[in-house]
Amino acid sequence: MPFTNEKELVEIFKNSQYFENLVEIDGSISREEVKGFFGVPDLVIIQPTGEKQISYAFEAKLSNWKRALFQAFRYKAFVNKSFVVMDHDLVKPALSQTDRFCRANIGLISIDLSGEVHCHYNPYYEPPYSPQLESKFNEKIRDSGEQHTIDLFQFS
Amino acid sequence: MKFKIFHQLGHNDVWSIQSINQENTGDGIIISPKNRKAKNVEGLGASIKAKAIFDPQMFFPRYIVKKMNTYDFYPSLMPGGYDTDRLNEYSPIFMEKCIEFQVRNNFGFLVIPTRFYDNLTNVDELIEYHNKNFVDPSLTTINNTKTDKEILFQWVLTSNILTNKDYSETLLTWITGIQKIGGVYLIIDPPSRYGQIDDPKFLYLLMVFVNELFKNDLKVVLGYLNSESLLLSLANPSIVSIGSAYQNIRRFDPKNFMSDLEQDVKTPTFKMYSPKLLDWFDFPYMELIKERIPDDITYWGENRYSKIMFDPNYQGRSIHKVEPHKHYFIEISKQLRDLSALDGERRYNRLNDIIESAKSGYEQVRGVNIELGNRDAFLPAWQTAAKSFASEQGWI
Repeated sequence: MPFTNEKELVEIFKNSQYFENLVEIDGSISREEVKGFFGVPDLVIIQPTGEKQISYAFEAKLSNWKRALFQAFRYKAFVNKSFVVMDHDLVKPALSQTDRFCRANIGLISIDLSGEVHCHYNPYYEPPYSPQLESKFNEKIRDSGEQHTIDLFQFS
Repeated sequence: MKFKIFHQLGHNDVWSIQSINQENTGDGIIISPKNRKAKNVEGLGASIKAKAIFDPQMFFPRYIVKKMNTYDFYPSLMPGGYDTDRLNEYSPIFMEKCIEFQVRNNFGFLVIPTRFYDNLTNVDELIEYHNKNFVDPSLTTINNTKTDKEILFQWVLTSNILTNKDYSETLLTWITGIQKIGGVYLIIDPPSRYGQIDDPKFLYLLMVFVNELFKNDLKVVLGYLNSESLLLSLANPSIVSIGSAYQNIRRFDPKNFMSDLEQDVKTPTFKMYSPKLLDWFDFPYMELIKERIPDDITYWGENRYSKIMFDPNYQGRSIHKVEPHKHYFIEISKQLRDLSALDGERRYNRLNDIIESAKSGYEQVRGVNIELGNRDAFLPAWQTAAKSFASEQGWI
């Protein structure tokens, strides 16, 4: 049975083992609906891994993988790894276009109602393509304390 | 027939005037009372005003927005507040004041104001109402002032009107029959306000409508345009407008003339026009395309502003910066002047080359693994509309 809305999909993904594994590392920060950069990712994570950090963005969509891919690509302006998260029951059309995800280096994940995550393409680490946005993003996420929504409109 | 380029003024209209004067990116201006106080319009130089169209922006008689409250000709100023039932009584007064303001300022043209008609009311009733409240009192004033300025009939063309053949034909018959007008200042109300116009039927019908006016010896001024001005140039307009930057913010939107909704307008992020891709791109995309396709100058054009914007030390990228606006004026005016120098079939062929070049540009961008979604969906729509129009003209 498919998800009824994107909010439900995001909630179940947030509680999945996959997501918990990413945020369980000491010092990791996760935020929802980070506004003001280059699109609004549903979820972001900054994960410290030794000397450098890895940042993640997730765009959840029930269907419409093309729109999700476009949005997830925008987030690569300021994160290292960007993913599309889709309803597992509706992921088939996207799976037939996996090469497009690979070329753009955007992750493709699907999840079912039980919270089981299927990873179809795991992107490799890349520096964000806008260094200016990257530094603003890192700075603001770290400064946002316990808030779950931050709002940044302009960047310079 | 060559056409002229007029800048549709709005926020920071001084940038347009500078651009025209210093960089020859236009032949005149269309003044927006929403954005410029009456005294500042009167203070414009005589040479600028002589090449100006004053857009009365009387689209909603009930509302006054921003600086429009510095003018004395809006129907909402009627004693006791605006009242539809009393418009008949007051419209001669307001039309007279509006026309007198235009005559006094010696603008290049005189514009008969219009209101915005959203729904398809009975066309005969609409014509009667519009003649009575707008056309007749304006023409009476113009007759009395003995001016020989060219008169423009203003109209907002909606998708509803265009796609209703009988309705649009009735309007054309009426407009082309109005004595004494020399042209039509046509404002396009697009079917969608997000991104480029990608409805080929709307674009084709729009070109047919414009060309019908042209065939009736009327000048056509196309207002509130984005880069679709390139496509619409096929339809023989006399003047096309270019607006101050940022993709769609200069596009006509009725909500911008209704004060209580004005605050809903979302401020756009920093963008730059690509003369190759015929659209606006956010800064991160600019950087990425420039990085992955570094040697092709056609993507961003070569002018002092593009150089400044790509300088790593360039600070404060926001809508308030002048460079993206002046860059757009230079690049789009180059493209429009190129088309203007050509006629009919040659203009069509050149436009087709521009669209083909844009299509190959998007392919090249995808080829370097940049995901642009459906950003190029407007190109086949433009090409289809252009081809249908060209076919009807016997150019292909």
